[in-house]
Amino acid sequence: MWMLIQYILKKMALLAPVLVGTSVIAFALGVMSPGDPVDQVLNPNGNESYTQEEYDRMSARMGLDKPLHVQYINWVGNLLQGDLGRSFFTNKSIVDQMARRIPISARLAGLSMVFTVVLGVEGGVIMAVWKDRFLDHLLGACAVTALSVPGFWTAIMLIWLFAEKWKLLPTSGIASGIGYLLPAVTLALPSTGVCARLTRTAILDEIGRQYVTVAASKGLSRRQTVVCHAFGNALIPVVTYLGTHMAGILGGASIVETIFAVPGIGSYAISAVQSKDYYVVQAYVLFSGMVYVAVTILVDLLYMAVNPRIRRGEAGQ
Amino acid sequence: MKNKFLPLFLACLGTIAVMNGCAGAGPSAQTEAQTQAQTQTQETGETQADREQESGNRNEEEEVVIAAYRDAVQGSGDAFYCWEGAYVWEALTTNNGGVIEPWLARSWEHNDDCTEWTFHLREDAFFTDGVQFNADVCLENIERWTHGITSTYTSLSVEKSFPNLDKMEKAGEYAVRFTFTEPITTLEYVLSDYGSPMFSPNCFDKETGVISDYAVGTGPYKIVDHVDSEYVLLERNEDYYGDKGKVKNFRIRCIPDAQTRISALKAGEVMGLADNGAITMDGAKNLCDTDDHFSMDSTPSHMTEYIMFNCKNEFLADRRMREALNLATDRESICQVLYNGLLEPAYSFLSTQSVFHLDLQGEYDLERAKALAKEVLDEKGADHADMTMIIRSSTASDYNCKAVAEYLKQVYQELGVNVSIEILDSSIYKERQQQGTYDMTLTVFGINNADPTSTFKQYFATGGNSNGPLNYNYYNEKIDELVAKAPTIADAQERGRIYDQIQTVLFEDSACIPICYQINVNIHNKAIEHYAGRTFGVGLPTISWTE
Repeated sequence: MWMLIQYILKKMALLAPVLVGTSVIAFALGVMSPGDPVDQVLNPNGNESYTQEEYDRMSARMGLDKPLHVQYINWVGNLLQGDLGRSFFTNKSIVDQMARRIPISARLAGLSMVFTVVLGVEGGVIMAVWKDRFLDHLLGACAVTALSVPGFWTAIMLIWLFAEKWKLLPTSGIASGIGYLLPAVTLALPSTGVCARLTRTAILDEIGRQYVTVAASKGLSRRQTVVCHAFGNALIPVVTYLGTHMAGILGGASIVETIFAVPGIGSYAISAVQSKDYYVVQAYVLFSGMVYVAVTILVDLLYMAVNPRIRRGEAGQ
Repeated sequence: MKNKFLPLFLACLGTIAVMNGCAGAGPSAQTEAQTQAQTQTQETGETQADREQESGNRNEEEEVVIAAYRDAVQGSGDAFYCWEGAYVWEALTTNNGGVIEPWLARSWEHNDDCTEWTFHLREDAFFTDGVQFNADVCLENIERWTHGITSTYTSLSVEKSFPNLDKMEKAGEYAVRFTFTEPITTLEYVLSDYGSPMFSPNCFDKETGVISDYAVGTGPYKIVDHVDSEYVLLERNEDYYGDKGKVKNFRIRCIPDAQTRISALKAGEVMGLADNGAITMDGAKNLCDTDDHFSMDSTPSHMTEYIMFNCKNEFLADRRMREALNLATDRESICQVLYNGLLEPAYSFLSTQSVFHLDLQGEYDLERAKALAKEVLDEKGADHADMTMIIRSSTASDYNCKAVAEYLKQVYQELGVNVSIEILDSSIYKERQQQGTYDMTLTVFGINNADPTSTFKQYFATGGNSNGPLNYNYYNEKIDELVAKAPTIADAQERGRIYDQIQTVLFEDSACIPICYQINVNIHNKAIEHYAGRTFGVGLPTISWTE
């Protein structure tokens, strides 16, 4: 147990420089992106004029008249106090907005993950168990189709079918929980395909190993061999993939959120990028970086949980 | 084993086919569902059709849901809190198709030299929190604009609404007087709509001007619920001084994606689309042509599509080259073919929605255009001219600018002008304009208020805030002289003659190419009626369920 805690602390220590790096990149990306936020604020519809004096006043008010390093230090200082600033445009607190939107994206990511795990892993196991049979070919074809179809097209088709045609689900919005269904399926579809194929391959790799032959020679059925013995060992690549997938959605599934009018972190980032609201962009980049780091640690811990060899190896180190 | 799953697979396919068939088979069933589809109960996810079936018939108590690409409410941090089209707040005056009409100010007058203006306010206007609108409240609101509150709609400041203001004071319980150091002849124009929003003094912080909770106005509707980036729920103001809204509740949903908005309309989740660019003209026309549940109303807009030049370009600095491009621009064809005959060709700078619009008629003459262009090219010793046309990406998606640009590219090539089109993100577009690294831009804009003086000055006068900084680089002594003269003339008719002269000079000098006067496309389900566009948004108070 102590070793596990040590391991987690070690990973957390590594997190600090990553976060500093992420904050520098986040800040730099905001500053370097084209366009002038002061101009955007003073001239939101691109059709207004302002004087140099007004420009200078607004620039000072937004804190953009200071040298970049001072801006960065101020930004980090506020960040450490939990203040990510206010949106240049809406003047809303970014922390408040993120606090409202992150749970929405998390719910979406969670639901999508459930679909991916349930359908993808199960599909992979079924394909492995019935290797080279009809079901394997059918599910394989479905998996390839699922991962090949672009997300936006899937979204449009799902809306057309379930909302326009059958009127079973709402086209957009999350006012009712059911509104999460179509975006979650859209997000889950390609990852389900990948996950199914990955699981199948990993299990088939394991099936060729000696311990599986031993299990089979003891009289276990193929299904028992796969599920009870090979499956656990085959999970490592699947967990790695699911971790990255989860981080990706948590960090904002921008296109899907925009199509389905889900007010999550991704759609927030998109509108911020469009309006050059770079405090929001900086906050978003930082958040995404943190999510990836957190998920990486989580995946490492899951490795240890599912594979005793890794647990022993890490402990040994 | 193979045979075991084949029937299951075929059964699944069959079920999908049957469901699809059922949904598509009955136009009458769909018709019924769609015409019945009214209010979408967001809380339960039911469609409006479902609710309609439960309630039996529809009446004014039933909510009408409308979709827009952005949230109708920007919230506390925004100077206006919500757009004017929500009918929550009102201003002193309003621009109704170019004509300035009384709103919260019932009348106004000024002294001879236009340095002192008195506005007489309505005596029967109450905010929805019960506070009466009067001179004190009006002045408190104007005081609020000094706090530098920003907005995503347009800027709001005392400097902008009251240029050269010396003092403002109460001139009675329901009258306010403004004194200026310099004459201002068009104050009623400047104060129209977004120029003078009025809120209850109880809803904003006196120190910062920030609206603390929901905005409270005097309008025919009030905000009763708002979920950021999702929807705003409006309820009829039963104590409104004017004609009350016909429908009790409106829900304005935010659906950013254009295709999803149309799907929501088709699915009966929303009854209409609102806001600029909610649907393209093509999209609206196609939908109405293919589905008779929907109706499209078009109302004139104050927006006009133009080509603006960067006159620093050696060829475009020559009036003859600008004229050549002007003559080669076949507006009739553009309006007929690219805009389905819905738009009118434009020749005057001011749109038909401006009371000062001058009805000029130009011509399309490709041969003369070729001759003029050749003259210029020969003089410069060039056999062709390479030019870059930039377009803001949002303009390209909201209007049919991309097709227009492609068409013009082909036509201008015949003059020896090779145009390369670049569609740019908003910030990059602005940067390119500011750097002057473009030769022409295809753009759509309207005048910010009904007063054209500031617009003429901004775009065409020497030192204009857009002319120089955005590198239009247009200089014309006559324009400078007229633009300087216009604000000194108090008489509207006489001032109108100056505006006529300005428009004529701009036309003759081909200072820019107005292409067509845009319209607002308002598409809605026929289950509702009187869904008409206004200068800002659609007229919510007049909308009702179809009898």
